[in-house]
Order: sequence, then structure tokens, then C-alpha cells
Amino acid sequence: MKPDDETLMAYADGELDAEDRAEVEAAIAQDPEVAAAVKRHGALRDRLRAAFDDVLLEPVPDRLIQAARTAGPAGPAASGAVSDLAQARIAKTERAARRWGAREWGAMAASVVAGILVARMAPFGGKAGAGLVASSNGELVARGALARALTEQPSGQPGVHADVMVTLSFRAKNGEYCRAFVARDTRAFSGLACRDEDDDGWRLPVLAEGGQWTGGPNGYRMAAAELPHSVIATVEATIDGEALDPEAERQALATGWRPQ
Amino acid sequence: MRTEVVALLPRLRRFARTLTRNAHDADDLVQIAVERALTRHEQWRPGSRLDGWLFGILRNAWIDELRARGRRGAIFAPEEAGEHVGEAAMDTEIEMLAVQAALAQLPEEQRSAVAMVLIEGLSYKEAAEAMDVPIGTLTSRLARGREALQVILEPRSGET
Repeated sequence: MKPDDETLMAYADGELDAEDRAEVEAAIAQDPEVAAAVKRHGALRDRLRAAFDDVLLEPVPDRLIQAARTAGPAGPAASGAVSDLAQARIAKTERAARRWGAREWGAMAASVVAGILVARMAPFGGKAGAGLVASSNGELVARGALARALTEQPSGQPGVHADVMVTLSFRAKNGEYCRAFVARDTRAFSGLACRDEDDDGWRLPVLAEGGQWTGGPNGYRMAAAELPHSVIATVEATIDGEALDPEAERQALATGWRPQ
Repeated sequence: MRTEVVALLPRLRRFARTLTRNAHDADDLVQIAVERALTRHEQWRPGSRLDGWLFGILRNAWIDELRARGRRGAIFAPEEAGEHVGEAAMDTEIEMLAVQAALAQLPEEQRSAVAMVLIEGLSYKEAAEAMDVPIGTLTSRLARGREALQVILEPRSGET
């Protein structure tokens, strides 16, 4: 029997239980029309995502990061809270006017207060896929030398992949392995990478502009690195206990970062 | 919760952009949603998805805005659809704009359902909760939204 279109949509959206799924799959195998309908649903989803995914790669405006950090019961008025768009526009204009003096100041401190960037592709080396960071299913993921360094490179040792330094590894509260890193592309950026078990990749829940390391050519153990505080804050929020010691990290490296 | 909210900002911005194509309005919506969420953080149910909860708050802020605009006489901020079309506009860019424009033609209810499930990847149950409607309502909005999008976009599908 031919499944109705609502069932096919639910199938395409991963909403069916095993039994219904098997029925749809049988229908797909038998009926090219059903197969085409399911394919159309998938294609529409891909086109929708492709049309909006670039937003993920734009720098997040400062005022939004500030709102997330400071708004709340303690004092929405003080943080410039807004309740509708008309008010938001006024508040924005006022803030922009006020901020001019602070801006030059800010430039001096830029390396310290580097905000979350979640980046335009340009700083990460051109087009999506070519650089170290790409967007996949609405999430940012590591690619290329960054992905290889995260999988293969011990903490505190720049060099194996020269433009990436992993600064620490830890177990997150949900059991996943995560690693903080600093990388250099056309600009320096830092972030947190967590191991995606399903596809052996690294998701990047946080990415920030800035970060640096000192410490020399290959062989210098434990070079020092500075992470932007947005990255540090996320590490602190997600870490389960302490960072891995070198022995625990060696084991994790050897076992492909699979949760034991 | 603040750290999680900061990490969700890119996705909140994307979701807002599916509701309004004006980028400034979209960011204003994100700000309003973030401020409302942090002010009433005790209303979030631990164990439920934070993103879904925030999407729901953001969408309510947008519905409020639409109503307010209705009262003020519908002064809509200009859309920025043409902004990126330059001489060097590429096929992919035209394709993106076509899909964005198609989504913008849907009624708000269908647009939100499509954005939450197909773009943001919420389950039917999570999206229904975020929109505060029964699952059946959500699935029928989603189905109608999809059909409409297929009709609008179909002529191009052969080229992609």
C-alpha cells in the first residue's frame, strides 16, 4: 500500500518508529513515485538550510553577546533591555552614540576581549569547505588540518599541524571528549571542539576571534597559550572535573577519542 | 545558562532571519528574546531543549511585533533581499535568495513550523511545544508550508 504524504514527510523528518519506517522503505523500494516524493522532501530541506546557513558564519554583533551575558532579573533596565523593535532601534542608536569613546579604548584591549566570532568564512581561509571550519547540518565542524590536529595532536605541542595548537583536553559532563584549541589562518581564532561520535568528526560549539600561543618550534613542551574568555567560559561550564593529564590524553588519542 | 545562550546566538540569528529578512529587525528580535529568556529563566524546564524554548520566545516577540505594526499602520522595515545581488551574483546566491523569498511568502505559522523543523532540526514534539500548539496542528502547518514551497520553487528544481 502506498503511504500517504504525511507519512512520507514524517519519514523524511525522522519521526517514524522502526515499524512504520520499514513500511515506507519497502514502498520506496517498490514504487519510484514514492521514492521521488521522499527525495523531494529531502531536497527541499537541503535547499532551505543552504539558504540560511550563511547566517551561522556571520560575526555575532557585540550587543547580542552583551545581552546574553548581562541581561536578567538583576537589572534589565541597566543593561539596556528592550521590549519591542521600535524601542530596540532607539536604544541601539543611543548605545552607538555612547560607544564612540569606548571604541578606541576597546581596540587596544582587543586581544583580551575578543568576542565570539562564529565566523565569516573569509577569516578562515576562503570558501566553505576549503578552510579549517565548515558548516554541516546547522553546526560548525572542524575540517582539514584543524580536524587532523584535534584527532592526532597532543596538547601543548604546536607543530604536527603547524597552524594549530591544542591547549587542553577534557571530558564534558555529557561524557564526550572536548578539546580547546588556538589556530592560525589568515587570522588567529580559538574555539572548543567536541568529538562527534557518529561521524568521527569534531563539532565546534564555540568559536572566537583571537587567542595566541607562544612557544617555539617543535619540541618545546607545553608552550603557553591564551584563550579568549568566551572559550574559557564554555570550558568551565562544560568540563566534568579536571582536564585530562598527559597519560589520560595519550590513552584518548590512542583510542580515537571514543568515550570509554 | 548564559554560556549556553551565547553559544546559541548564531542559531537564534538564523531562526530570526527566517521570520524577517530584515537583518536589523532579526537581531533586535534575538536581543529581545535573549533578554526575556534570561529574565524568566526559571520558566525553562530543565531536560527540555533550550534552543526550542528560545525559538518559542523569539517567535512570540515577532508575533507581538507584527500585531504592533498592524496597530501602527503597518510600517514595515524594508526588506534587504536585493542587497547581495551585485554584478557578480552567482548562481548559488540567486538560489539562496529564491529560497528565502519563497519562505517569506508563507504565512507566519507555516514559516515558523518549516524553520523550526526543517532548518533548525527540532522534532515535531519540540516544535509543537515551542509554538504552543498540539502536534497535529504543527504537522499540518508543516505539510502546508512544504507544499507551498514546492509549488513556488518547483520550476527551479530541474536546474539544481
